[in-house]
Amino acid sequence: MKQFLIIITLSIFAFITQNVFAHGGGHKKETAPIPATEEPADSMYVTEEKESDPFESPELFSPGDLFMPGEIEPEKSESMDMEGSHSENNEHSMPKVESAKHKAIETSSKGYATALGITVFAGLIFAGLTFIRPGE
Amino acid sequence: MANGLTKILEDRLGLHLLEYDIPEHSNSIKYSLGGMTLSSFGILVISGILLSQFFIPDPERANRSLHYLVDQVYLGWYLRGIHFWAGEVLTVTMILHAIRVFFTASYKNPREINWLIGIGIMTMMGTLLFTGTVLKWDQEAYEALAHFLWVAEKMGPFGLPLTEAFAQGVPLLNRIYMAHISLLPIIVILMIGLHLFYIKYHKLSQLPDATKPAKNIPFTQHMAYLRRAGAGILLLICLLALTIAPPLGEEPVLGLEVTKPPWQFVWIYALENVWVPFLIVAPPIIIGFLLAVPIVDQNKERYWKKRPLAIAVLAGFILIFAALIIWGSVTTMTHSM
Repeated sequence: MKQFLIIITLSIFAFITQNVFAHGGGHKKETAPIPATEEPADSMYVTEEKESDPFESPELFSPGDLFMPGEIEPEKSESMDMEGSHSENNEHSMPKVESAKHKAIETSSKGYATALGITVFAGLIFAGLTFIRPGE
Repeated sequence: MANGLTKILEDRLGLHLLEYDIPEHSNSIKYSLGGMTLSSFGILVISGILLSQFFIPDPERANRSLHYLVDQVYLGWYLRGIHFWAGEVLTVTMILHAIRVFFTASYKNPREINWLIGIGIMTMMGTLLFTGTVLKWDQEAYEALAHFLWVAEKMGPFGLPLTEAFAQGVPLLNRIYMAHISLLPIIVILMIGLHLFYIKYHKLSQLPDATKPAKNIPFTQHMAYLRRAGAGILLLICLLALTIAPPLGEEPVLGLEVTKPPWQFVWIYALENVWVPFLIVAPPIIIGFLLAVPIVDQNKERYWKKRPLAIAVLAGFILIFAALIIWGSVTTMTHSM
């Protein structure tokens, strides 16, 4: 009887621990499957996975990289559908942007002397061809 | 010795084939405007190859790479200036060339096809100018592209290849850069080749008021004249690049519309201000009108005094464009796109 009780006790223990050891031991929480859509917030793989598929990332085309379908529309509706003048509308809601203009070249520009030399050389070629007119 | 060497080179390279006769009046500014345009195009190609070594065709870095070129690279500002001003000079000489051809009725039988090729080259040059404007990726560039995409969207399936939806995931700026440095120049070079072939085939047109055949000169003499004209064009471009820097703004603020297009496109801006759909219909109408010129004008006369209607149309065309460019430059946009 005593032997029978020992066998029964050992058998129950063995069955219980079989499950435990088969899964690496004591990780009861993992038995509940994580939904596929749920992502751990602090995992490094979350970011990596997003970067590996650029076509699904909404960040790729905005704001520096524009013109994906659907992206331009909302902005257009805010600012390009204008009833009044540009300057009037933009003063209130948009940052100030000035259109680029022609500027005079400063003599301190990198390589100005060389550029001047190239221009003088081009002038000399034209003057030479005009005075000598070879082949004309 | 030198003569012997020249003879050997002429034989081996077939240079004697360039000795064919052409009319003497070809050695004049008005009959060399096409050659001057070709000189500008050559300068554009060479300076463009150099510029491409510094340009990053990425929306995030394109504008910064240009600022770096202009501010930090030795002679970078000069290189960009030469590319920009070559485009400006090319536009002017090309338009003057087209006006001269119209004025002297050189598009008439048997040169109709060459007129059509010329209009094709003009259209391609306009496209190159547009793509070049977009590549600098400042506010002006962004707005130009936004307008273009609006038109492409309205064109439905025909406009799809011109939008980002055609190649999702590829920034449109990359594709525009490819078109600017590869596709469009190849097409233009092929068309220029065809244009020159038909000039050779049909010969340069005689003066419209000539009563007797013009005196001829060898083509090599005209080449020498064109060499001098090309040197003059190079000097002009260098002088402009040395004194006036082309516009270059900061990275664009998306959604804003505060700039105006370059003067070559400002007439569309003015028309758009009158009626927004002009943005879509005006360019094809004008190109169609130019293409129709040799088909509609069947008058045999070439002298301008005997073509009052054609000259009136030309004058009207120039006046309307000049007025639109001036108006577009001074007006403030009030439209709903």
